[in-house]
Amino acid sequence: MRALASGLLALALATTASGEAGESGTPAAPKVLTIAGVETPQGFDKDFQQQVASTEAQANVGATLIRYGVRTDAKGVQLEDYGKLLPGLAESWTISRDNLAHTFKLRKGVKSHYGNDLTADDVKWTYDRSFTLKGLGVTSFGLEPFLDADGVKVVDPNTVEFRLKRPNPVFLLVLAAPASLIWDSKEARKHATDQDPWAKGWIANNGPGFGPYKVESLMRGQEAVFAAHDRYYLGAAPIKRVVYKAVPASSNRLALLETGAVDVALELTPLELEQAKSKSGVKITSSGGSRFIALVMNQTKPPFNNPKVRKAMAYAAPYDDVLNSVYRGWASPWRTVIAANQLGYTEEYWPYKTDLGRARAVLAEAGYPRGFNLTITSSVEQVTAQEIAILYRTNLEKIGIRAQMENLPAAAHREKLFQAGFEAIMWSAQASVPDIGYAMNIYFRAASRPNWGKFNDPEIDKAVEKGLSLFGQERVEYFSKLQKPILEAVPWISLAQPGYHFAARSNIEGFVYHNSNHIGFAELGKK
Amino acid sequence: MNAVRLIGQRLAWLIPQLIGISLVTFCLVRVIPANPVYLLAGPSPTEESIRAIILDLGLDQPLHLQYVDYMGRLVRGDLGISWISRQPVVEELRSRLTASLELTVLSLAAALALGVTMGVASALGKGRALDQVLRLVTLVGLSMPRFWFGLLLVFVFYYHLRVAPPPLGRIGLGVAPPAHVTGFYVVDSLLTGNLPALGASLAALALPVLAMSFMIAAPIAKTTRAAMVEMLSNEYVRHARACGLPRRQVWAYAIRGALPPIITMAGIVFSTLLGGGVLVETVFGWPGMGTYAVQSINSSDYNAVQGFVLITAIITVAVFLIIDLLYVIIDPRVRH
Repeated sequence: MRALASGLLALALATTASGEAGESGTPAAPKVLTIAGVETPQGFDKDFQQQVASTEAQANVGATLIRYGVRTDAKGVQLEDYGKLLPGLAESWTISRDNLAHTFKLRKGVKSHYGNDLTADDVKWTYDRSFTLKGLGVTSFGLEPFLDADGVKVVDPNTVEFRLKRPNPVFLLVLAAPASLIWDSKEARKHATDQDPWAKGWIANNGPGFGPYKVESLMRGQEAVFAAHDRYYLGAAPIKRVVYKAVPASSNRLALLETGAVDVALELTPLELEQAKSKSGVKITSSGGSRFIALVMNQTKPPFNNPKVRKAMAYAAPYDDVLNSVYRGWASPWRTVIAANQLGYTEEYWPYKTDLGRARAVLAEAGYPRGFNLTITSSVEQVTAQEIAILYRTNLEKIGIRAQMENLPAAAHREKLFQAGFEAIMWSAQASVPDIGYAMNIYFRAASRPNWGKFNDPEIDKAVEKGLSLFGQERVEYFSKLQKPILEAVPWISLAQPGYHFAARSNIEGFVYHNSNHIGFAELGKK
Repeated sequence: MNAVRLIGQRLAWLIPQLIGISLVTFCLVRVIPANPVYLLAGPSPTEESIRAIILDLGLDQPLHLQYVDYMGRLVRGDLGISWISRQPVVEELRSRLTASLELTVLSLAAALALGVTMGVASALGKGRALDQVLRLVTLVGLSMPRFWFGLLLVFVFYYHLRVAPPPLGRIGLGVAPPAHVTGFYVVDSLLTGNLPALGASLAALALPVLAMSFMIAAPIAKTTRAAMVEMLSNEYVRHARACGLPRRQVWAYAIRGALPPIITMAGIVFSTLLGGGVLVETVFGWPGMGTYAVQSINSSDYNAVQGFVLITAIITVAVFLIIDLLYVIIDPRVRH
């Protein structure tokens, strides 16, 4: 319904396209950035709140021990460089020869939003909290087999050591991810109560970090306001205030951007992006991004436990139609199994194209000459996924697979995914650690939870495991080659990479694409 | 005296009603195959992290113990915390409710003024041109999708004519909400003498109230017309007319007779809109009850859903009590 509504207004807007936008509208006061988002953050607690707007806010209130470097891609768009790590809250670090002990020297004079100095205690408390509460700060990186609370040691007020139980080649990459931010424990402790010893309620509302912005106010469902942290350790951000508004209707986000009432509009539909592009005063910066969309098949039972059936599905997928009619060119083809922003990404091993004749032949070979019945599950919140599923169904019907659609609320969709209670399911995700080996380990190992379709290929399982202990370039090269056999085994059907499209007024500059799909407010400037 | 007894009876009934409603909602949210745990567990969960969430939410307890625990807190006015935002549901609902009430009460008032006028005019001129036109307007109002009308208003008045503020919720950009007294922005800005906030919140209300009231004016107009047509052909009205009473007085008699169904309709519309205004809320970025309910259901936020249903139930009961009391005032037959 909402999509229809957006579509209608976008259409209405398109018919009256003229040069009026840009010259009129009320420009926001200088140094204030107004963002039209889908919803407000639900909270600032990295251990519990993980909705898109929440992680976006956390990335801006928090600071991490180390940071990803920045590189520029072929199109001139800046994005994170995972081959280069920069000092953050830690000014330097050393790693023991056995790759177990990681010792970080903390930068001196770093102040939190509340004026407290950063100490090793803050790091310790942050991890104690995440481990005790089994929070997303550790679970979303699969850290638990490698580290526990006791492994985080205060050496002296300015030195902290992480002693791993076994080597983890992606540990530094994890520490640079937004959910590895460090809390101001001194302030947080003041708000702990007997019932809430880890100040869950307070942190959710206040996000006491060392990052470039502090929380000024949060009215859930309405707006969140951030103020630049004057004593941020990398220097106060140029944008002094950020107003993050909830604008649920995407057509309204577009209208607000066109009129200049907001500086940035998030999550526009392909149709709206197309329209925004032609407007003066609006600039769209696109990056391949970390997100991908796939059809996951349940491989615990027939027919998808048969790799040939999955291969037939791969030949039946409407790759070009998805890019052209669903995304209208605002997505990239996805010709592998890892995201475009990761080191080691290559399309050279991609063996598929839409070929219904071939699909029919492979399906017959697999023992299903007359096809089978299938239910494709998608989430009501992901309109594009539903549209893709409908296109897919048309092709499947032509090879004898009779598919019906099932659209579920987010939580129900998620439960089906978790319980492998689906036959085939539309799934969109991004890996929380930007590492090719990490992604392959969680998605293609038989014993891994997020291997939702229960893909189980002993050869690949062994090959992935073997590469996990590799470091650096060797690791990237090893896993890069693994894309070939994995694609042959069809663990899922790779459909498209929706990319990230930063739609902003043209006087907003400095955008850097981040793996976690957040906007770094401190990186932006306003002319 | 009748009225006092009525209130007493209703309040006595309220308790079992609420217990029943809480029990049904409690069971329903848990029966639906949409366990919130999986949504909360993040992108790469482990068995332990899932276990930790189940323990944290108390979902490992048998259902009846969970219910006893829930009721124990409910008695103390504690609706639990939202699992998504980690905030007390009572507080979240309070801000959502005031936002919804502000919008709905104003919309209903506008709709009543518009709908009753249209209905009466239509009935008085039954069959004539004005009646046909008004019936057409009513039909359009009844059949036009609410969100579409809202978007149309945004398009015309904000995007095109630039006379309305941007559809950004309860108050425009760059204006701070008034200091909190009641939670109703219009009332609070009046109380604190905050003129900029008053102007901004009234401006922000204009389009959503227009969108909502035009839609609900239609059923009210339809009901009014039907009731008025019936009343005008009633014997007491015909008698009044035959006695040569002035036309206005005759109409006043008829309107009074037609009020009960109109009030009932208004009550029904009001209770539906409070939680069901989600489309208008979405279009105007209005942080009301409807969007809260939809979000909570989508993410299986049990406490939030239960809290929403309970509050809506209480308000619905209250609204119908008020309607019945109005009956007592309007209709002498009920009084005696």
